[in-house]
Amino acid sequence: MPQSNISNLWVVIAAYNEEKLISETIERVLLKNVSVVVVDDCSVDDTYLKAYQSGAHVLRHPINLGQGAALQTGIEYALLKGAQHIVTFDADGQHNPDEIIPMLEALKMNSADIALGSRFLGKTFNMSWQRKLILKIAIIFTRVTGGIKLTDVHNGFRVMTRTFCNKFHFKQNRMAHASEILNHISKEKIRYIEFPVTITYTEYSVQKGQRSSNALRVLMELVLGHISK
Amino acid sequence: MILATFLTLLFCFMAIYSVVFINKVFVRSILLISYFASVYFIWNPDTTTTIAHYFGIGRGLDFILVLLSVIIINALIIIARHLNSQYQSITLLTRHIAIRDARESNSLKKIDNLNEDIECS
Repeated sequence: MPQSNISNLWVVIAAYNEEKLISETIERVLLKNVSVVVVDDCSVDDTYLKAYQSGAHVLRHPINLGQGAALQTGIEYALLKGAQHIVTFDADGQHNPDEIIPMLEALKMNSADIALGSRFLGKTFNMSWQRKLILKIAIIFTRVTGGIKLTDVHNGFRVMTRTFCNKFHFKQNRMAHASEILNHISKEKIRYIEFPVTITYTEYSVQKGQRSSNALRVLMELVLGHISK
Repeated sequence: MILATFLTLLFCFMAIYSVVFINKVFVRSILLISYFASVYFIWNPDTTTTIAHYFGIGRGLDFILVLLSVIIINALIIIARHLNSQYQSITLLTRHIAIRDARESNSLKKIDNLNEDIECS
């Protein structure tokens, strides 16, 4: 397996009121010798301060825009800093930093533009059956509407090349950004791979924003996004 | 008479607005036809009953109400587009401010300071 050059690898973390876990997440990612940028989406707690003290580059939105917008801000910053590969990573400790480098290596080996994490190829811990059902419906929905055959959708763990990031911009500010990126991949025939990842659902992450009702919200955002284009 | 005049002025204004601000020719044409048809129906209400019968609707007034619903939906879409446009601008501004005021990693500064110390010594 080729050795990855990680000097230009940037991990982008969008964070909103994540003071409880942000330090731990950043410290675990920094152990991989990568650059980390945290975009604080106008948190009302000490997320910004804790992220900065933990050694990340820190940006702050003066108003709350949503996860999609925060990721795009972080990606643009990373590109300005010369990033060649960009990872999107959740702030709530669901993802495993040990999988960043293997995912990057898989991306390079397959000459792909984007590697999408798949919890159904990998492992999941403590996933509720409701969550599993919603995700399975979303997979079928994506297959029908986007024509893209995936084993997982709405997984925030991705590795992207600089070329991909220069061409693709998240316009969906909130949760529908995950569908937006899949639509782009399908429409532009982007070379992608799926990579098995581990997702650990904790009580904290479920409380933070993993409600099944979010699926309806995503659907509404997509519909409104198409109407108001 | 007063209401008819008011509606005529309103629809004429909306027609001009559509010509100026709606870029898509197809959408603009549909809107224009709808607005001019509405003005015609306001001044020729009997025609609406004939058309209403053709579509299987009982009265001309009902037909006007249906047409009005279409116009309201159009207006809502225009508003949604404007809101989206405003929202995009706010997003870009927010992003610009965030990147302008970015704080670089303090661990890098620590490394830089360390390097400077080594060079000085």
